[in-house]
Amino acid sequence: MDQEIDQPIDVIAVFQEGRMIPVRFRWNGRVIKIVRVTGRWKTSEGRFKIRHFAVIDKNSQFCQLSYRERTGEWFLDKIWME
Amino acid sequence: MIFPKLRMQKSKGIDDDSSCLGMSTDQPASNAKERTILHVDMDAFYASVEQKNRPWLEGKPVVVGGDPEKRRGVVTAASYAARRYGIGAGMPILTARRLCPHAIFLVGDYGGMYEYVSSLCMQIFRQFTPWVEPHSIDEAFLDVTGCDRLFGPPHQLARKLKGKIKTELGLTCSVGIAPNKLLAKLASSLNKPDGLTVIPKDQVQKILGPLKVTRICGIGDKAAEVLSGLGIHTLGELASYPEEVLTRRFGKNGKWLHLVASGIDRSPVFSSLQAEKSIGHGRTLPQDISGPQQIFSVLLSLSSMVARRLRARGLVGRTISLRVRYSDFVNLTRSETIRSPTDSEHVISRIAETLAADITAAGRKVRLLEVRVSHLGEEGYSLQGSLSLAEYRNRRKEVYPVMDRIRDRFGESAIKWAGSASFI
Repeated sequence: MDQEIDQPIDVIAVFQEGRMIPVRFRWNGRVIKIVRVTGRWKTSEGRFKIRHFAVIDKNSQFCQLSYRERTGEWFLDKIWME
Repeated sequence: MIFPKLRMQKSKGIDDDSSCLGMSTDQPASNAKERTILHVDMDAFYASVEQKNRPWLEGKPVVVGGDPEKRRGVVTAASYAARRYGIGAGMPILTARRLCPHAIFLVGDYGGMYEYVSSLCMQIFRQFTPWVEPHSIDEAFLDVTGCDRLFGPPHQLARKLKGKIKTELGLTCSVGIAPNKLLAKLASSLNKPDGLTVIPKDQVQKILGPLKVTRICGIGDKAAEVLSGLGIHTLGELASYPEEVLTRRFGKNGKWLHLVASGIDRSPVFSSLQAEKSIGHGRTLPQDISGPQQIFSVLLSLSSMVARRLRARGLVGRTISLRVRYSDFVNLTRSETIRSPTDSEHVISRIAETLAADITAAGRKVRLLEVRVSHLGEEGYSLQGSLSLAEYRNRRKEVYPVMDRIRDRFGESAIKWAGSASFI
């Protein structure tokens, strides 16, 4: 099941063909490598966008990240726990 | 021109009223004599979006629902693998767990993910025709009359559309093709998932005849019960029943019943802007409530959201409707039409409060509230001299746009009326 995390994280992202793609993030002192972005969508917080990413890490762990344009922060929103 | 059936569809099986019978047939008919209408229904939409984001869930029984801890423990969508266990939308999560303990239960992402994917679907539909009428988050009608030169015959167009949905979004959909909306919707439901069904004009009676009356969108369980009392179980029986008797029994809806049983539906496909016949907001409450103050607080909050959307579109409306779902899932709908159209949350909530005055009589508890405004017109459309309008103009007209701008910039929850803050 999903576990809500909602914590700020550091993210390395690349920009490719006009798209922002998160490739690594640091959480709880660990660097986690993203191998696949499986979903992306946008929501709004007033006039600012929040960009959401469903991703799979190298251990096939599912995580959901978001980039909040208003503050320029990345968040780890949730992870999948077996 | 109201389409109660459109709003009733998603809650079919739960709703206990038969207002869906009130489907209007007095739509202006399309100019084209022979129309080609597509109904596109995304397959197990919420569950499929989740499976696409989490590829290891593909093919598994997946149930998307609300958070049981927040009292939203109802199945929103079930993957086809889960449906094989008898799990369906509207079912309590606990029942679903009993039917399929090994299913994967997900709390739906109601923060905008499904809406975003839905908007991408609609964008793809609009690549084929500008006449796209969203029917719900995961369904739409497309009028593709005359599109043959661009995309080939309708079934070819439908295949292209299904292909685009699959490649670009990784989702499947079922498509129905027919001469009208009623039959197109029926067609899409005949072959799911990933189906493509055509109902040609000359096959309508043959296909409709043996089907149960409830296969038609707008005929609910309650109406079916009444029809059953008249010895009518199938659409064929309904079509051959004397129209006068149906009209005597069901009023103007009797005529509609007779028409739909014969596969006749002249309602046009409205493009999205035209389709906006009403604006509403509903909320399933974190816990069942019965206190008037709690109810009024929720109504003000909902009215505020409705009014903001009206103002953003430059619209005003005259009919305010209140929908209540009780803890036993029985629904109640009431409405009132006012003389002067409004876009003021205070006018809307005042009417909603009046409509809600005795809803908790006999100790009934409320699970969901919805406020809706219909009979919409543009801002200039108003009748002069009403007290409410004058009051609104004098006292509130400067406050609303300021609040709207604050919300535009900082989000919906940045500012709210004190009266709506006591419960939410």
